[in-house]
Amino acid sequence: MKRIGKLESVWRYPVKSMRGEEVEEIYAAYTGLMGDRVYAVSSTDAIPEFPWHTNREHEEFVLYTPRFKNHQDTLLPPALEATYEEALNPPYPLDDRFAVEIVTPEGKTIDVDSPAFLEGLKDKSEGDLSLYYTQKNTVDCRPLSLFSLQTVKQLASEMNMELDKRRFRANFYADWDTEGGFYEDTLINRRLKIGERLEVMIIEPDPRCKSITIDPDTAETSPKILKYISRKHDNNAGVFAAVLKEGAVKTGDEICLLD
Amino acid sequence: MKFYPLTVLDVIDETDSARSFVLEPQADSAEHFHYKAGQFLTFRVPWNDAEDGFLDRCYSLSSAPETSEHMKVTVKREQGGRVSNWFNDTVKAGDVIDVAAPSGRFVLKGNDKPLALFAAGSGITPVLSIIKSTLAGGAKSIRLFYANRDKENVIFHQELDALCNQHSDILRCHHHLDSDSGFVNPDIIKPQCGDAEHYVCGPGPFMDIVEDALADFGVKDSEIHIERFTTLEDASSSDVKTKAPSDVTGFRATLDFDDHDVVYEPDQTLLESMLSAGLDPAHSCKNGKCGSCMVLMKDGEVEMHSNKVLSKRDLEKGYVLLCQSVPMSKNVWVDCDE
Ligand SMILES: Cc1cc2nc3c(=O)[nH]c(=O)nc-3n(C[C@H](O)[C@H](O)[C@H](O)COP(=O)(O)OP(=O)(O)OC[C@H]3O[C@@H](n4cnc5c(N)ncnc54)[C@H](O)[C@@H]3O)c2cc1C
Ligand code: FES
Repeated sequence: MKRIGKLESVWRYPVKSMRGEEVEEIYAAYTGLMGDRVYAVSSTDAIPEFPWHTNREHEEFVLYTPRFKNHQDTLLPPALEATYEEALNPPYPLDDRFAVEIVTPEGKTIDVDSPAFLEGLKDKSEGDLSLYYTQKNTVDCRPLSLFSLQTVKQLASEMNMELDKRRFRANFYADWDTEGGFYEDTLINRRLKIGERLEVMIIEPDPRCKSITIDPDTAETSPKILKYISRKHDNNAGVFAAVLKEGAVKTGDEICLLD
Repeated sequence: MKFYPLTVLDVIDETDSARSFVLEPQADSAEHFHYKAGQFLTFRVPWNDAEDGFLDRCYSLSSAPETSEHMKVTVKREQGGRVSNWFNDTVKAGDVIDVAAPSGRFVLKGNDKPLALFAAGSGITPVLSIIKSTLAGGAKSIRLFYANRDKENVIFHQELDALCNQHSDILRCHHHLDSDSGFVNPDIIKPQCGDAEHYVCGPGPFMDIVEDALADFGVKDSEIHIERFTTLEDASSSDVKTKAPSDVTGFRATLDFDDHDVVYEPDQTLLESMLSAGLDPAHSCKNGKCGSCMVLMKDGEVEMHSNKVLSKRDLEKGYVLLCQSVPMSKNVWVDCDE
């Protein structure tokens, strides 16, 4: 197994399109990271195939900070070691353990499922909003997204601007052993092992949209970032992965090529 | 748009000028045909004289997913109409037709408000679907105002009567016949309005009258849902296309800090014109969904066919989507570098 880099950081997004949360250790299942995009806000104004209210039509959505009230319970399934040994599918905790509260940009803390939360978003959408919940992850395309620090650096230098990696809203940020950006693109169709158990296949490039133009701290937009990636990198930055073998990962884990 | 072959299982005579067609997808495409009451299907019909060799037409589903195993559309003959008459004259059980997956936003809102429904002529199709779906979901008051030229032209007369009898506590149907009471006017409509979700579907003049009456009555925009039965002009799209005024023949675009005078051909979007001119502004989906083609308006006016990505804030700042914009004035100037 050839080592190609390490996991620099791991992120999940408890409410789709809101601010992400960096975690030290997390379980990666076939459907994605535990607790990733378990809540989403849907809007009747959106299209049926993508019914979500997102930071694209409401940029300040990225300034809402969701957090699990029972943080520790939402990182690893209980009895994980035993399920590893028996090759069993580890059951997740019950829904109430996934309760989320949100700190609004104004600093108020409200429960995601309280009427006040949707009420506060009412004038941000033309449609009726409702809360969607699933323990499986409401990801747009594929269960996991991966971006590298080298790609962030290369894009920042090509565009001559500072770029915060959080714009790219990846689950995994990799620090490759090689220099130069977009190394992850060369891994498409390759199998990787991350940490002691998780095995993934890199399946395709990640086509970007307006989300990456939004500054994660101010919600100001810089359309030129998306335009640049569209014209110079075929609108792609980062890659998607599918999980082949579930397992927990933690920051600093080695990333190795399996084939 | 992707089309899938659907088999016509049955053809039902509804009136002298309208027939229903019961449809079934093939096993490998059935997953694409889940629908919500009120949505429509787009049919692609081979047509020798058409520019692309086919005509695309939308027909609303008159069935409801909760109550019918199969999808059903109902097509009313339009005088001189090509596809509507082709359907009524030639389509028979066993035929296979190319159909795109259901779409449309004329669907039920997820609240408990009563429904005030307004239909005229073939506009009853999605409205009947909505009625059946609502009744299947439980008690909620429904008032239907249904206008037709005369009794002979009332599509689903018996089916509606049966539903009204069965659900007399919650469903009320007011038939308006031009032959008895003259054309619909706002005074007839207003008593039907109220604290409800209002759904309107029918021919253009009927829609205009109902929309005006609802506005006069003070019904909020968010409580008015409209489906217009327009004919698709462009076979490649299911959207109603905005057209540029005929005297608009070009626009200015700034790209990579150079100003370009771009020739505009009728029916193009600004993106298409720029690509035809050999320019390569940022773009990706060409569908109004990704935002890659957002540009800043420096001058003039454009209209967008659709926008699923720009926020109110973007629009206020003057951003538009190149792939969806049609110039509406002669002085359009967009800046692709901003
Ligand atoms: C969302 C949606 C849902 C719909 N649902 C339904 C439904 O459930 N049932 C239904 O019956 N219809 C429905 N329609 C309307 C339907 O799609 C067609 O527009 C309608 O059937 C007419 O199509 P056609 O090909 O028969 O007419 P066309 O051939 O397009 O003709 C339309 C009209 O233009 C006239 N015309 C045609 N060519 C010319 C010409 N060269 N010069 C001048 N005039 C001309 C015709 O005489 C006719 O009056 C729906 C439309 C939409 C957009
Ligand atoms: S190209 Fe995607 S919105 Fe225009």
